[in-house]
Order: sequence, then C-alpha cells, then structure tokens
Amino acid sequence: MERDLRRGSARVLILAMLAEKPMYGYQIAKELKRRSKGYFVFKEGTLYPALHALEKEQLLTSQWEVVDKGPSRKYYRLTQEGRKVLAAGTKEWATFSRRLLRILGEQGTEPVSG
Amino acid sequence: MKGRHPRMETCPNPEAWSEDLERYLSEIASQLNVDPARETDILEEVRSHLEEATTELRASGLGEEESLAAAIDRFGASREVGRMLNRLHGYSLWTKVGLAILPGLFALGSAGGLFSTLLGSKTGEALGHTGLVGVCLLVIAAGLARERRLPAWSCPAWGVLLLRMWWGIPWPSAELSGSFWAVAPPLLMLAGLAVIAAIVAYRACRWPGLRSYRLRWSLLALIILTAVAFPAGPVVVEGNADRGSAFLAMLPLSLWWMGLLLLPVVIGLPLALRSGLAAGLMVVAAQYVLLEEIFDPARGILIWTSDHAAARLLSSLPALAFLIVPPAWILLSRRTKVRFWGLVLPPLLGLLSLSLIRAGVLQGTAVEYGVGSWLTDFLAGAQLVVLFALTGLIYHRLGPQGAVSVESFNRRASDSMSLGCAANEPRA
Repeated sequence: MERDLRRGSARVLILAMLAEKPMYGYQIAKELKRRSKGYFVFKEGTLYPALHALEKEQLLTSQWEVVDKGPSRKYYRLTQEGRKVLAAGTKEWATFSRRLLRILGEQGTEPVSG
Repeated sequence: MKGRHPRMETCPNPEAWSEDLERYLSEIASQLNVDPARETDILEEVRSHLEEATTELRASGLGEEESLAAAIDRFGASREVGRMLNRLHGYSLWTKVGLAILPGLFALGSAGGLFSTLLGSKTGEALGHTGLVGVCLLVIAAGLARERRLPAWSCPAWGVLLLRMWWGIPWPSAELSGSFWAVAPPLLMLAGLAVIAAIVAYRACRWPGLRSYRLRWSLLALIILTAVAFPAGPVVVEGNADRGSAFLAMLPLSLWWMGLLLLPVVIGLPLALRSGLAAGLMVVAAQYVLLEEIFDPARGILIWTSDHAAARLLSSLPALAFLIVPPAWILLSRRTKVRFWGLVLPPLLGLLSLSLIRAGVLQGTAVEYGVGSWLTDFLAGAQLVVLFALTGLIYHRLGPQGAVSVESFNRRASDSMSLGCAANEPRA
C-alpha cells in the first residue's frame, strides 16, 4: 500500500520540485532523495518516462543547456498549466491525508510518521 | 521539447566514452521505435544523467568502472527503461500491427476477388498484381520518412518487395550465347548479390549467437539436404531410366531455388540485431511471393473443377498464413517462445492446408493426386519449412528481443509512468 501511495504521488512530487526552479533529471532525483531523507528512492531511469509524459501533457517544457564543465543538461520548467495541476494535486493530497489521519485518529491509532 | 541536445558541440573527446556506457545506451536504443531526433534526444539525456552520476561517484572515492556500474544500477534495466520510453513516444502497438499487415490485407482482398468485384475483372486483376508493390512501397516510405531506418513493422513489406524485384532477374541457365548486353547485366547483378551475401554471412558468423561450429554446420547440412532432396524425390518416383542424369539436370534449379529462399534470410540478418524475431517477418513475406509465383496454390484447380469457392479459399490462404497472422502474432507477443511459433506455425499450417485442400478438390477428378504429387509438394514445402525454422532460430539467437520475458514486461507495465521503488528503499 505504501508503495502504491508513493507511486501515486510521483506526478505531484515532480511538479512540486519544478515549481521552485527549473531542474534537470539527475538534479530532480537527487533533490527528491535528499528532501525525503531517502524515503523516495527509485530507479532513476523511471523518472524520464514520467517527465516526458508530463511534457507531453504540456505541464512542463524542456530546454537543453550547455554547461561549461560536464555534460549538457536538459532542464525542465513548469508551465502555467503545470502550476494549476500542481495546485489541484497538492489540495487533493492534503485533503486525502487530513481525512485519513482523522479516521485513524478516531480509531485511536497513532499516526505513523514518515 | 525546445531545442536539440548540443552533444556534438560540447563533447571534447567522444572516443573517451566508456564502452559500457555505449553498450547500455545501445540497449535502450534497441527498444526505441521513434524518429531519430527523438531517439538522439532521449539517449543524450540518459547519457548526461549517467555521466554526471559517474562523476559524482568517482569523486566519492569509487573507481571509474565501479562508478559507472553503480550509476547504471541506480538507473535501472536498460531494456525496461527503453520500453517505457518507447511506449510513450513510439507508434501505438496496434498502429504497428496495422502497418505490418497492410500488404497482407491487400493481398487477401486481391486473392479473395474484392478488387475484381468492385472495379471489374480487368482493372481489379491489374490492381491486384501491381497494387501490392505499391502498398509495400508506401509502407516502406512511411517507415523511412518517420524513422529514417527500417522499423520492424515494415519488414513484411520489404520481404514482398525484395522477391518481387528479384523475379525480374533471369535465372542462371539463361542462354550464355546471347549478346553481351543480354547476358552481362543479370550475371553482374547476381555477382553483386553474392558478394553482399558473403559479407553479411561472414559478419553473421562473427556474432556471438552463431559462434558455435556445431550450429553452423548443422544449419549448412540442413540446407544442402533439403536442396538435394527436392530434385531427388520426383526422379525416384517417376522411375526415369537415367536417374543420375535427370537428377543432375534438376540440381542447379534446386540450388538456385534454395539460394532464392536464403536470400531474404541473409539480408534480414543485420536487421535481426535490432528487431530480433520481427526481422524473420521479412523472410516469411518473401516466401509468400515465392509461394504465389511458383506454387500458385489455385493454379490448375479451375481446369479440373468449377468450384470457384475452393479456388478462392486456396488463393486467400497464403496471404493469411504468411502476411497477416505471423506479423500480428509476433508484434503482439511478449515471449520469445510464443514469437518463434508465430513465425513458424502459421506458414507451416498454411502449407499443409494448401496441400490437403488441393488433394481433396482434385480427388475424383481427371487428375490423379498420387504419391508423386504428394512427394513433390512435401519436398517443396519442406524447403520452406526448413527456412522458417532456420530463420526463427537464427533471429532468436541474434536478436535482442530474444531476452524479452513476461516478467520483465509485467514489471515494466507496473513501473511505467510512476516512480518505481528501488530494492534498497527503506521499509516502514
């Protein structure tokens, strides 16, 4: 179940990362791992189909940028449509977790912290 | 996607790229069936990711090879990543199947009398003869225009076209006493094809899948055996007094026929590295042309019986068994074993059905469908069957799609479009 929850949250997580600043794939993977303290660890190759799908839905745009040292990077940016979807997704997840915790609280179960 | 990757401008030393990295990228590429610009873009993005990950791991104290291995491990199985991306960017599976069976549908319409009914017998027949080549050219052009290389779904069209063109070349027993211009061009074309076939065969022998001497010699023995058996059968049955001379007279024709059968196999070999068993579709489609031109399943039936329905059925079977069922079967299958049978079984059943129907229709007519007819049909069919099996075996051993398994497909399906969890993820 926990696995399914993490999978279901992939879209909104990627959009949330990119809401702050444009990022490239490797950077997103690293940031996600760092901020979740290792909770969101995944095969990095699965990130790109997700990014490309979001780009296809026009929630992201991408642009190659040349870097002085090291390989060129493809940066992804959030579009206006992406911001709307992120806002809706954030609200949906907040409602979901709040209601879930309320039910768990009613049953006297201690919420499990991540 | 805005802008193209600037790889060529920024990479100072392409030769220094790791062989392992290139192999990994080519494995991803082998699963992609997308336009070249998209493929380059995808591969450069993966390369960029792996190069940066490797650099960081090296900085943390790992060796060069270990760093790359760790980065690749974190990235995931190349073929699964490739398939996920292909599912996102490539043609839908049903579009590919549709394009692959388009020549077959046309041939079926033609053999079933659809065009003659719609356009009148003269125009309909003319369209049936030339239209198939046109359809094949369209499918091939669509593949080349979109992907700038040979997609697996265009293999049946290539197979049909290959032997349709080949029929224009006179066979080697052409009168050598004719004028230079009548003799030289076909012989030069044959020599050219022989050189190409030799180069490709040499390269094929160097591929890992065919390094086994036992396999190579077994395949060669099988080919020679069927080539020799074809003229031997009728000679024995006919009870000719000078059996040796009769056999020797028929042998060149049989060898030429066998060479003709082998040609698409040899030409399909380089494709097999990329498309695996799907490249075998070229051979099956080419053999459909041979069957139509040489066996002509309905030929003779209408002389002895007025059963038009039987003739239509016989005429439709090859298109179904060679051009429609195998492409759909192979492209829709996920397991190599199932694909192999998709390549071999429908043509085999088609050939068998043709012989049985013909024998049944001719039963009780003026033609005696006796042992000689059965033997000739059997040996001719055996040559084709050997080629199907040979094709399946070679392409299975060489092709990257040979590694496809149900497990990996299921895993891919569940991981696609979501963040898959790593094996070492923390458990709550």
